[in-house]
Amino acid sequence: VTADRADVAIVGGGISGLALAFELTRLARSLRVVVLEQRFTGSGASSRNVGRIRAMQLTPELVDLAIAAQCKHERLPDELGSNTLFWRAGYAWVLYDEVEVERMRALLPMFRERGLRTPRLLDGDRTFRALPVLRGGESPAGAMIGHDAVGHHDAVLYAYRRACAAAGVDVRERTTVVDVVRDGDAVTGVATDRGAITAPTVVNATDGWSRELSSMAGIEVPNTPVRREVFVTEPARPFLGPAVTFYRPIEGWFNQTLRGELVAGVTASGEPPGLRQQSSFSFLTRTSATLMRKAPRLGHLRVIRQWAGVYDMTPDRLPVVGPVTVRPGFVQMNGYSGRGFALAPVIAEMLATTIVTGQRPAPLAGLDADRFPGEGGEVLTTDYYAGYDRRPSS
Amino acid sequence: MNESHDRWNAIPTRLTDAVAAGRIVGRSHRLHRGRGGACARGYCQQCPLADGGLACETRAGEGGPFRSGGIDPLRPLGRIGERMEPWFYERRFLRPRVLRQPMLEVLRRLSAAHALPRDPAVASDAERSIETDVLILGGGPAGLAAAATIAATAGVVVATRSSIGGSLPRDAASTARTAADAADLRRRGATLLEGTTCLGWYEDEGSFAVMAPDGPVTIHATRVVIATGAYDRPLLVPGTDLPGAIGLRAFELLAAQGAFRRRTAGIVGVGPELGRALQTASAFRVGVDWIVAGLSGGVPAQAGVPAAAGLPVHARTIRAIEGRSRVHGVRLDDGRMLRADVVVTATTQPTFELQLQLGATPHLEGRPPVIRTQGVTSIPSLAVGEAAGWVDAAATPDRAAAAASAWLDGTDPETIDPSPHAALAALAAEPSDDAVVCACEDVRQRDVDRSIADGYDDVELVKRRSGATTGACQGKLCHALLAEAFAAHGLPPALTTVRPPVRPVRVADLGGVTT
Repeated sequence: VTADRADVAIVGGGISGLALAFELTRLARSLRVVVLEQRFTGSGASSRNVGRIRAMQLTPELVDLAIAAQCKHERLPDELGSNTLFWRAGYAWVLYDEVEVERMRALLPMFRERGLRTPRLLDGDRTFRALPVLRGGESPAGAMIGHDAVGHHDAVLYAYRRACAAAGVDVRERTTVVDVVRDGDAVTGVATDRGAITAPTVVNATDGWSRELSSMAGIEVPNTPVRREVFVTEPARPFLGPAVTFYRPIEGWFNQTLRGELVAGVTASGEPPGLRQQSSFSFLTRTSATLMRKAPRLGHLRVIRQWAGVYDMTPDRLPVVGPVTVRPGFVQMNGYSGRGFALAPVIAEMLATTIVTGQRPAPLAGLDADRFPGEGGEVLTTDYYAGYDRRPSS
Repeated sequence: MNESHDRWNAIPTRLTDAVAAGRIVGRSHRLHRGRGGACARGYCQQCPLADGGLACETRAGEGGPFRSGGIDPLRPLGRIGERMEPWFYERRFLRPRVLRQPMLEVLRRLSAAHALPRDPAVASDAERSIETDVLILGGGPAGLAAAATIAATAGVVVATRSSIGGSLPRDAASTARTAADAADLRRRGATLLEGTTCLGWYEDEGSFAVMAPDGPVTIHATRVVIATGAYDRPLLVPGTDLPGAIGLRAFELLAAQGAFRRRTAGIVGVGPELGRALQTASAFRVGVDWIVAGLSGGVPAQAGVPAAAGLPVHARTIRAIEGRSRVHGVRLDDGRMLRADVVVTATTQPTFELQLQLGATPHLEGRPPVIRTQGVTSIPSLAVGEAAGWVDAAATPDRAAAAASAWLDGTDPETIDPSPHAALAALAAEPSDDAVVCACEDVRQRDVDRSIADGYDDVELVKRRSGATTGACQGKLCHALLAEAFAAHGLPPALTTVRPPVRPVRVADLGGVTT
């Protein structure tokens, strides 16, 4: 049995939790860090996502964060001593009506201002030329093409796993946290199905399960898990570089992996919130029908596997990162709202600084764990643009 | 025809002939290893009949002439790759930094996968939905006998991948029985969905999904009979992926079409499956050079199998199937080499995915393990025939009918037979480094060994790190092999999650249009 005392207990053995553990030991070598994972490392969203690292975002604060996240991913192979297959595949945000095109046109100056120089807005004809895979499908009104990247979630996860092992982080798989132990207001550790662990700092890095863990700590949060589904086809020789995303008539995306498979997904407008990881057949038919409209060449590929994971949605679609004032010792690192893979490494770096030095790097200010008052806010899960249009301007 | 074969600049031939001759008809996408297109072996993705349906579901030869070939300019790189582990990239292409991106671009272009056709695919009709009391999955002798019994008192829908009667050649008595059962079903007005592939049970929606010739169908049923047959269960030895190394089902299919008339086969098997292979050889006059019958084994006395008389029978285990670009023969544990044009491995893995999706518990039986399922399912289910591990084909229809009858009466007939070949252990020696675990993704025993040694000792971690069970055969052939590779380390054998769809399905077929 390993020591039941730690300086920091991180709940959640995904990329987020492992990245934080790694960054903590980098800052303070003597820190005793334990990571608790109920199944195996990466068993949640970390091995269910498709690894997109997009800098083109709708709001300035998200663009800043996403650029920092992309740079961090690019540095990861050097920091972790392992190739994480960070791939500048490019990114195509395909637009299907003039309203979308105008929205993108209005974003360009903001992109430039934040230092994002690569995005180009193409008209419909040039979109076909840039993305021949769309030929035969409905005509796009245009596309925003950027120099964004795709990572490989398993490569990143395992690189962190090895780095954590080398740094002496105590990663305990098949260990379920059943309670967050408190002394008065302050957190003093966690109880697991394999015994209690005393730790003055407990980090909630469980994303989709964050509401559950917060409530064990007596904290009500607005985080809401929502299912997202993916299918993958047999491999084919390279036919598509950039990762493709569209939001009309409904949010969907597809890209070809380094191994040659097509991964794709189209969301459901009526997807009920909840912690579900079951696959549905309606997802297969919905996604296929949408791909047949947008890029009918893809119809030749055969689906060989489908799965589901959860997004941990917050009302403003921004992560929740930092200490909870009313619960000393309890630190949030969740609510990624679908951007966990991209953001986790850079967030981990900044949060480690906060935990070790008590100082909060500036970009974390807007991600404050105290920002949702009481009952929280409404969590929008359907239309992508509406999720940002309805945010109060800050 | 698939355009990926054009570049090999080879002659058109019939698939049947090519497979029987151990010719290369495809390539593994990662290491460019030659594939023999032995359809029942699940090399789906490399199959030259892929566009007309999986080769392992299409009668070989139906696709007409196609191009087979042996020269692949990238194969030498694949040979270098064989010395690397699947996660070779972890320590490579780090320096110089400027080459990191170009290296990835080069790597992805080394794939031997098929090219995506340039023309748009044509969508099927839109999804429809039907309801029934009992859904029968599988239209072979077991499924039809159960269906005919049940149809007397309840509404049934029978879904079968090939035509009624099943995909494998049967003897005259069996064919007559299935014809009678099918006629009985038609008379009672049962719905027969031929050419229909079950894609899975979707717990979320409480329905089955199948792919019919005109498009996807969701089926709401209150009960289900699983009569989906069995796969081959490859041995965990090197060389099982060589052209010319085929399974029992491929052998039966091809022999019935006369593919082996001028060729000879060596047969590796135990128990009833060995009997089945010999019966096939005898019925279709395929010359058998030798038999490897395992440590425990003699040749089973089987009615109508005079062929075994006088043949060399080796009571040994095999160390490897040997060959370079095609099969040369098998290497016995005593070092002797037995030569043959074709090596037939007669072993069986009952289908298991649907049962697992329905909530049954996987049970890895025997060592080496065979996957069996047991326990309560989401809706009442009955497994019959090879899916239940039944090995006596002659007795199957009567037994399926009796089981269905008892099941209707509310008793819970114990239909799951113990593993048909606990004797697998008698066939293969202890796994060696080059033993093929997952042929689609070119994963070998040594990759699993290294993964476990590096601390990735959960089967889900090994899957993600090596790619094992994630290939185009969807793990049908390698779930059990990965479990066996784990067991070699004294770790409890376990399965990775079996995900839907149960069979590969084209996006165009799923993405139907409303007409």
